[in-house]
Formats: sequence, C-alpha cells, structure tokens
Amino acid sequence: MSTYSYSAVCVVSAENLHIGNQLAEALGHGPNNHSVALSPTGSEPPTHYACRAQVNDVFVAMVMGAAEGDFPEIGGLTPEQIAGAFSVMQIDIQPAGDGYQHFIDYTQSLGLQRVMPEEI
Amino acid sequence: MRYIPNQEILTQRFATQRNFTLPRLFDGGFQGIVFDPLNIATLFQDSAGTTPVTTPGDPVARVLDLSGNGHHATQTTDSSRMTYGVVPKGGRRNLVPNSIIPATVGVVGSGGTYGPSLSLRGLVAEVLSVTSEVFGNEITLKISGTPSESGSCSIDMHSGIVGGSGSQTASAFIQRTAGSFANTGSIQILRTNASPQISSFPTAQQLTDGVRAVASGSALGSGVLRWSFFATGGAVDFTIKFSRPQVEVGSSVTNYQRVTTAFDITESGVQSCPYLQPDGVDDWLVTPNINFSGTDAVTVFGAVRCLSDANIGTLLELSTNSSTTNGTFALLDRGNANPSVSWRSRGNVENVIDITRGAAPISSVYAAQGRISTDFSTLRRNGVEIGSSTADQGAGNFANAPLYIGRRNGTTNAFNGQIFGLAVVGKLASAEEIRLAQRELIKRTPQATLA
Repeated sequence: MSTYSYSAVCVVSAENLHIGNQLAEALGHGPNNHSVALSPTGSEPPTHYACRAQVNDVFVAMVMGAAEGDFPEIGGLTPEQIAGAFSVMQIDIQPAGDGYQHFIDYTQSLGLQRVMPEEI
Repeated sequence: MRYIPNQEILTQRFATQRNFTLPRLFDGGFQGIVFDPLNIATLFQDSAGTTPVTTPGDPVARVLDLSGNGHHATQTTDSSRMTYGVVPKGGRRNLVPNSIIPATVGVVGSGGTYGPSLSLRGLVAEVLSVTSEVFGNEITLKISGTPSESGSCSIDMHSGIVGGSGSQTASAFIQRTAGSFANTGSIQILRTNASPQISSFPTAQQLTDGVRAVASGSALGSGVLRWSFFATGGAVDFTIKFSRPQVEVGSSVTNYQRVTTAFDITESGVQSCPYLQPDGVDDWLVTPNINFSGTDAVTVFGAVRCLSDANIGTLLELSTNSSTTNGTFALLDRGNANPSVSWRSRGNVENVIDITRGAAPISSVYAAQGRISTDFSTLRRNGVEIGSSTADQGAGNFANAPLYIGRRNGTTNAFNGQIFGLAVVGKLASAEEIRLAQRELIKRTPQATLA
C-alpha cells in the first residue's frame, strides 16, 4: 500500500499567502502550493488560498506535532518564523479517498467557496 | 456468389492491428506526446524522475513521453501532483473504503479493539490467525463463552461506504471451521446508527462451509457496517473464517473486488486499468514547449473517466489559454448545468464544438481532429463522430507552446477524473490510425466500449 494514505487540505488567508507558500517550499514541497482561490461568495477578490494533496505519515506526524507546539526545524527559517507560519495555516487531514469532496467539505466548513471563471 | 477473403489483405490488416501501439502514430516523425499510465516505468513521484511510482496511491510528478519527442510532463509543486491508481476494467463495484481486514492476532477482550474494531458483549473472541490471500486477509476467529443475556461478537468495518443511495447489498465470506453454531441466534449485518439491523444472513444453522453470507438494505452509506454474531440461550463455542467484505449497489451479489485503498481496486481474473487521477482541485501536469509551428493539423486522443460534473475541467490545452491564444487547441470536459465535452481548434479564430454528454461518472475515449487551413474540426466519442464543424479557424499554424493537462494554465478549471491514456500528434491521423488508436485506448478504459 502506498505511504500516501491521507488527504490534506491547507487553507491560508490571502494576506498570509506568501507565508503559507514559503513554509511549504521550505519543507521541500515546491513552489506555489496554495493555488486555489477562495472567497465567502465565490466571487473575486479571493480572501483565501488553498491546496489539497495526498500526504504520507511523515507529513501527518509533522502537522500533529506542530499542533502540540513541536515544530520541525527548517533551514533558513527561525523557530519564531516557523511557529508563525504554522499559526496562519488551517489544515485538515482525512484518510485518502475522494480528495475533491474532502476539499469541498472542509472549505465549506470554513465558509469559503472556490473563485472560478464563469465560463471558458 | 461466394465470398473469398483476400488473405494477403487480411494478413496485413491483422498484422497492423497486432503491432499497433500509440507511438506508431509518430512513424515518419511528427510532433506530439503519448502518455500511458499502463506503462508504470514512465511514471515518477518527483519531477526530476528519481523516485519511480510503484504503488497505487503514489503521487505522480513526472510522466515520460512515449512519442519519441521527449516532451515529458512534470509537476514541481507537491500538492498539484496527480495520483496513480488502478481499477478493474468493469469499474468499481465494491463500495467499502477498505476491504482488507487488519492482520492482528490475539484475544480481544471487553473494550479491546480489532482494527477497525471487534466488539464483545458477554463473549470472548480470539483472532487465531490471519492469512494473507490474493483477495486480502482472512481471519480465523474463535467465539466462545456464555452471554449473560443476549450477547454478540461483531466485526466492525467500513465507516463511510463510498457513494450511493437506494438499494445496496452487503456480503462477506464466512466459513465455520470448528465447533457448532448452536445457541447463536442469528448472524446479521448491522449499521451502528440504525437499529436494529439491515438484514439477517441466513440463519446460523444454514451457514455451512463456504457460504457467502449476504444481506440487502437501503443506503448503507452512513455509519459503521457491522458483521455481527448474536448468541442466545447458552454457551457458544465456534470458529469461523471471515473474509472478502463487499457492499454494492443493487440487490445482486457480484464477484468480490479487493479494495486496498480508493486508488487500489482489483478483481481476480479481470484486467486492471491503471490511471492518473487529477483531483479536480489543484492537480495538473505540463510539458515543455511542443513545437507545432510546422503544422496546422492535429489529432488528439484522450481516454478518461469524468468523476464529477461540478467543474468545467481542462483535460488538455495547448498554451495557457486557448480562448485567447492563436494557434491552439483544447479538449475540455465541461461539467456544470449541462455536462458536455468541448473541442476547440484555433488558428486566429476559435472553432468550438460543444456536445452534450451523459452525466458523470462517465467513461469516454475521445478522438478529436483539427486543421486550420481547411476549417476542419471533428470530435469522436467511443468510436462515433459526435460533432463536426467547418466554422472558420482563421489562418496560421499551431503554436510552439506547452501542453497543460488537468488544469488551465495550472491555475483554474481543474479536471476531476481519471486519465487512462493521452496522445497528441501534429497531423491528421488516418481513419485507420484513429480506429486502431481508439481500439487500443478502449481496452484500457473501464466501463467504456466502442460503439
């Protein structure tokens, strides 16, 4: 069985987007992870950004640890910066399944909808 | 009149069919791509291509192009990686989120758990052994003791049946291997948030060796499904083997499907179809620039299963936006109020074919063609032409641009579905090539047949 057995949805406010992306990149997850625009009405402008991913035990343990104040060491960031970055993130983790539905359910629970073009 | 087949022609044709693979579309040298999840050696978890995809559920960050052009698709952002999966050719029927019974052995006391859980009411249960079979684990469970009142021993599994309302049927293989079912009142499938039961299995005495126990009910989706052995009227002592739990739509019981995870579903004796799954949220791949500037013709093949109509999804698109960029094409799966598939071919004027399709989930093998200079545009689904247009496409050739897969420009219109194969070739493929390519793709696409 794949080690990627969880689904994670991460949400960050628009004003903290750069912090969320900086944290994800510093953790080795690549650039611009939070790329889904959200707002309470689904209309512009976005108030939040989010991502959804299949994640493994290592990621889950890190998030659980951070929730307890046990933050990972990340090169280039001070402990204060790391703690501050985690504090602006909202993360929900569920067993892997329908990732799309997980994303919709969690963002709706936060009162957010995707900002999408009306037509293409 | 007597029909005498031309053996030479037939031999050549059969040889062509036997030898055809999607890369053959590029014989003679044409631009384009072939992405084929069936070839797991072409899939990697990282964009650099150092960690191969080995297991269903693994993320996919690099897909090697089999066209010979080296236009490998990549994804550098972890959260935007697609997921590799397999599903039987006939599609998924077993709706349990995980049919693999945990390999835990030992006595399970009151309050103990047998993961997910095994609950006891006045009885003693011991998992004597767990054997790994091709269909998953099989537990040997000994149940004994004298319940003070009506007692039960239950195997709790499967919170959250995948999908579904209406009539559903639950089943499992239960085989008595020792002891007697005397004093067992019934064996039932329950769900924990609805009482008292969905339906009984056959009475205990009828459960002889090898019986597949079955119960039917409606909308089993909520709550925990519980395979429960009720004991009444005195001491019990029996041993059973338990395996292959399954829940499916309808009132009939079909062959067991092994559900290891949502991305790993197999069925004995049935071909597995590997796929890449963009999640409909933020997953996508992109190639380097593909230089189509030497041609005004293109043929696109896509074997997909659309899972949701909630989105307007981008299956593939040349450039960041085919609606505003000249020399582009796109194949879009347009969910929303009127589910349709859209093929767009554009010189400096956009030609659009929008054809209504059935509601998701729906499997399709698409074949689309466009030629700018002759304003030729056509779209086939599962071997049948479903649309064509001679509307103006303007002038020029196709562009030297990246090909986006799963999401427009990597930012919007995410496709929610499974991709079983893609091919794009910078020419008008012949009718025979289209026939063969569709035939090749339909074989690896579940719940799709050529008309």
